Amino acid sequence: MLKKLKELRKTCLKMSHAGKDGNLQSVFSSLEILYALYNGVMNWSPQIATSSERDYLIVSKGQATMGQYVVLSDLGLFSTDELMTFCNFDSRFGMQADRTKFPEGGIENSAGSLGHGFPMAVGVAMAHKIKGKTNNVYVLAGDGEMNEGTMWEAAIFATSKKLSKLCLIIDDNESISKMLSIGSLEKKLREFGFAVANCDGHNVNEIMTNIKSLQKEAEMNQSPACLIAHTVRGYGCQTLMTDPSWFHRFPNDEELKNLTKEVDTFCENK
Amino acid sequence: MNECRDAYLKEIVKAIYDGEDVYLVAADLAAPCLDKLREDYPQRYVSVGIAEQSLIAVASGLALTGKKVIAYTSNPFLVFRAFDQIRNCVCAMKLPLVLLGLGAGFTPPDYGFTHFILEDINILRGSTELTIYNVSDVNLAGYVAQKTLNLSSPIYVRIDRLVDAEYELTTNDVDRGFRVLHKAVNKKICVVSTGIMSTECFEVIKSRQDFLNNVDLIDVFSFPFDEKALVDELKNCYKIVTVEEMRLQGGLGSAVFETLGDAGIYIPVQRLGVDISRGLSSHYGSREWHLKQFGLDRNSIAEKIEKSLSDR
Repeated sequence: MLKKLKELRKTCLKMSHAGKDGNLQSVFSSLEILYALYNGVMNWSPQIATSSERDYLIVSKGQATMGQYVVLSDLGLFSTDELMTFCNFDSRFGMQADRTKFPEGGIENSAGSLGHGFPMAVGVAMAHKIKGKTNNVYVLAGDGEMNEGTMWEAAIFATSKKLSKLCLIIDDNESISKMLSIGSLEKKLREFGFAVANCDGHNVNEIMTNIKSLQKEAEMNQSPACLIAHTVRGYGCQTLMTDPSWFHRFPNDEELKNLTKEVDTFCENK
Repeated sequence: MNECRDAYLKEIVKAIYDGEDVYLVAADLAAPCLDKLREDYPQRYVSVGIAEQSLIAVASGLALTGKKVIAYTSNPFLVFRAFDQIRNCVCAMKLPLVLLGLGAGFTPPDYGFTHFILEDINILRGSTELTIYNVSDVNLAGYVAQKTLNLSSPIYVRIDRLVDAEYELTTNDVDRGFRVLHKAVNKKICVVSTGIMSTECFEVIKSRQDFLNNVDLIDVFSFPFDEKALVDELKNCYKIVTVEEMRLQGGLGSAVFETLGDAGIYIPVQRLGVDISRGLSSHYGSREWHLKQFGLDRNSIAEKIEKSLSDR
């Protein structure tokens, strides 16, 4: 794992400890995807965060919001001090993002109700297509979210309108199989007309490479793209990977020390 | 007949031909006055199919890029099917977007309960950032169309195709969210109505000299409205009758009660509307038939006003 990703995970632990809340398993599941998007895939920087030329990331999977905060902070959009106000009274940084609190950009959508982000992203991509603009629009969704009917309504629309600048990234941490398994996402999305690829969702280079090749395929096919990023809940911290109670829990003082140490010593080959 | 749907949409079509960056996102609904636009500017009419939730979210995405967007489909599905999208994708994000719902009250009457639109305003009244326009005449439809071009927050436009009345609409009316349709010489009773019921009540009042002399009529077309201004209009009458083709719970009558109560004004209020304690009608029948069942036809309204006057 990149040293930077360990640092971001440790910041998440601190935020969760300070704010006494967190969806750390979901955040750690998505962190490499978010990092890859903002550090090599998207045309995005704090300087163009509100420019009409930027690429968009719509976070449909609201539980990953903390991950977006830390990645954007790492790029200089927010200070680390402000991040530590997470979930405090009157903070801008809540468990789920509130777009209206970020006039400087970065947070494109408010999140919290699953199944809304993907169709919203479809609308953004449609707006760009109508104007003949080439901005890419990315969506981060969870595999569990694919139970929502709106995800499939959006998929129908996206293929029908040939939204080739739209890239859905599914953080597939196998949540859906614990609820209502719907079979192969890859097969279904291909049937819907998407260009689809699979990758290791914790390998930044693999994520970047796959998105770039998917985008070429999507352009050629005039279809939307979908990357199914295979991930592990709580990845990068042994306790979070094995103890389900960490889906919605924050570390106390002692746990913060222990979990931080686990992140530091985490070895990918374990 | 110049009706409110066309009055609204024709203004929008004209604006698009004049160069405004307006988009209609529609779920299985068009209109004859859109036909030429759809040929000349096919990209301005985006069909999402029969998918109301997708309609609102996709329209929100278009609005996120700064476009002027109208999400257009039939009521009641616009509101009821996609309420969470309205709440989160539109209201919570304060997106300047129009929710344009065609249909109101007991319409279409012969489709039965699934198609009645009796509690949309009641539900949406509690939505943050949203302004509701219950369009009660073609001039208001034209005003709302102009407003569509300069929105700063979301609006819900409820259009009843059977409304074809024309009333004066002043800037003051628009600011207050209601207008006085009739001012009596002796202000004894004030009828407060909304939507097509404003036309019905106006016809009732015009039909009798004693009503013309003693009964004011106020058309509340916007929620929220200017509460202080409404209290000023109501405070000198001795009885208020509210009339709405909506469920009573949380509707216009409730709003009037709340407004008076908050102002510490205690005037008897009689609410006429769809009283669900009597159960919803399971019969198919005309709109007029349904209105009569709930005491909302002209004769019933006249009886209530007459009794209120004689009770004095």
